[in-house]
Amino acid sequence: MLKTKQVILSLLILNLQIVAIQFFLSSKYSQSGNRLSSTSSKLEQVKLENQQLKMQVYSLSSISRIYRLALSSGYQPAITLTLNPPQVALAP
Amino acid sequence: MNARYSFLIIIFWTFGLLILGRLFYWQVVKADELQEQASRQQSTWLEIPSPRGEILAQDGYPLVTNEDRYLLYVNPRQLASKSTVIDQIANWLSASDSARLELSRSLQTDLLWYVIAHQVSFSEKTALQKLDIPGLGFEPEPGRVYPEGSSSAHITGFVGKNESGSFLGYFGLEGYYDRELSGHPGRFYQEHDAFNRPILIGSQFRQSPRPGHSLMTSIDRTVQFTISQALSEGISRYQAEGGTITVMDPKTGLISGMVAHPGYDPSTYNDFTQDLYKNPVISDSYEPGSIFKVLVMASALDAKVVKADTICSICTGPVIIGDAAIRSWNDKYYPNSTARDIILHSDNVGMVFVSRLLGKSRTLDYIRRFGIGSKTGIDLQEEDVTPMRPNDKWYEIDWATTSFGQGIAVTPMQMVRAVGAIANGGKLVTPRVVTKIQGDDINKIIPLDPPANIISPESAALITQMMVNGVNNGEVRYYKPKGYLIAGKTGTAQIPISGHYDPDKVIASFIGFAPADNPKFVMLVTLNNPKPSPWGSTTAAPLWMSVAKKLFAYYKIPSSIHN
Repeated sequence: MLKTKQVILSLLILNLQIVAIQFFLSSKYSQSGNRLSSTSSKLEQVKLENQQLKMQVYSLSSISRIYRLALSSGYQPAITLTLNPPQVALAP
Repeated sequence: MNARYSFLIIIFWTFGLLILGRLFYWQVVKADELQEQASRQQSTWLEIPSPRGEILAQDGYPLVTNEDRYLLYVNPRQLASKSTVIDQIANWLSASDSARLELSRSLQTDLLWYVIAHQVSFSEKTALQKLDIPGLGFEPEPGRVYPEGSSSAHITGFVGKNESGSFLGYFGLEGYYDRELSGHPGRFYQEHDAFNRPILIGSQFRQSPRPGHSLMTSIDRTVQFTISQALSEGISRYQAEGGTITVMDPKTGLISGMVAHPGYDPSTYNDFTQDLYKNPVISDSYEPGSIFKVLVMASALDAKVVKADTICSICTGPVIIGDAAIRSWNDKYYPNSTARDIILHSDNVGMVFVSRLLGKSRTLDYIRRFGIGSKTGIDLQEEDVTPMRPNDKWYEIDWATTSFGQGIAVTPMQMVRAVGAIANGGKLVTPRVVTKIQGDDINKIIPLDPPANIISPESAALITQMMVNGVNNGEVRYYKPKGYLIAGKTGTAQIPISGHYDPDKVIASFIGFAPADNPKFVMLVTLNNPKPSPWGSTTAAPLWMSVAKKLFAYYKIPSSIHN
């Protein structure tokens, strides 16, 4: 009878230990999962910011923008005045 | 008693065997099928789209790049107040009354998912999310962005969807290099539970997408901007219906810039008619007119049937061929003109004289050697050219008129390539836009095709001198920038319609290269039906010269002291 009780008690303690270990591991996995998820979100956020910055660089570097900036800064574009010669000098 | 016992045993055994058999059927015979069903229910295969490659200008800045965009959808069943939502969204979309009506009608239905807009930007998504409208959602979708605007539309083409809904490049570089740009989508396999939530510790498999390769081009952003602006101004000034400007390096065939009007915006290509998608520089044939004379004269010089001082014996008046009379453009004739004078005065009768000396067979042969009648091989989708008829289909009037550029159809790209051969010492190059294909796994320089010898360097030099003489002493001398050697030719070509020539419409053009002694660029300017003056010498030529001035400054080409 005593031996039976000892066996049952041992099994109970073993089971409790297994449950505790499982609980500990699950908690660890969960924490890792949370960290992974958080890092993943941060990575996506950084990628998005990087892309937006790239777009800004491209937009700021566009030739048409630089041209408009130059005009607004007082630079004058080269203007070619075309004066057509008299009608008698028409050519194909 | 024994009988009942045996009967029971038999019954139990029978049912036992039946159950075993059924178990065997479901667990062995149907195992694969059930496993597959379970796999389909419990796991998902997702396609991971591959990022499309960029199209870069010569300096590495993108002409076309990618940006994450979003599809805006709404679940009408989740909307609290449909009318308020319609007003908020419609205001943001700047929707017309008919669009609002359509939106309102759709939201009244039992649809679970209704697409409101495509290609919503990140900033617009953020603004809409702040409205906090329940039922509104976003799905990422790839977007193409054009930082330099739409001036390169005919070069880049655009990305649309094919019949199966997949992204596909159309026209230009997007179409020609679609396979390189597309890459290969990846796959993602994951298990999920009954609520479709992913099981993070379950089976997963991920095959990463292979991103598309990027294209490095020869397009110079400054040149492209310059010619785009110049063409817009020229069309406005000369009230033309459209036009093109093409700039090419004659030694390599690399295209520095190419623009055509009317154009379209590749980011909203659906808003434009389909006929605008075609690049007229490579796919619209036209009769080139007098600019073609330089090719026939170069051929005659190369065949040694004329020299620069050969006297034209028929340049006293019109030439009669059958029922037709070939006249000069202004009915003025210059007896005893030399070959040099024929180019200077753009004399149609003189060109008939030259082509007669060359002969039909050699004239047509040389024209073909200059690339006329064949595709140039440029790496843009939808190049389309008019083939030349076999020699036996050419009558005397046909090759006579061809000598001055009527009765033959060319594309602007073919003309640039042909005159580029003159600038390149008689060597014909293959025009090209892409110089390199690059990516994570590739860095491949596209080799240039070896040029073909068309005419001798001496003949090229002779015709160049004639073209320089034409610019220095012809009508375009008023527009030529001082101090530069420019070889060029004007053209004013009639447009054929229904078997005759339109009496009112013309295509004015000027083709040339500079500096003539060491050409940095060859350029063709065409204007469709300019007004009030139709002549190339007073419309296309001044436009060419004004662009050339800017290119001389940009390329830091000094003027020549002796000129």
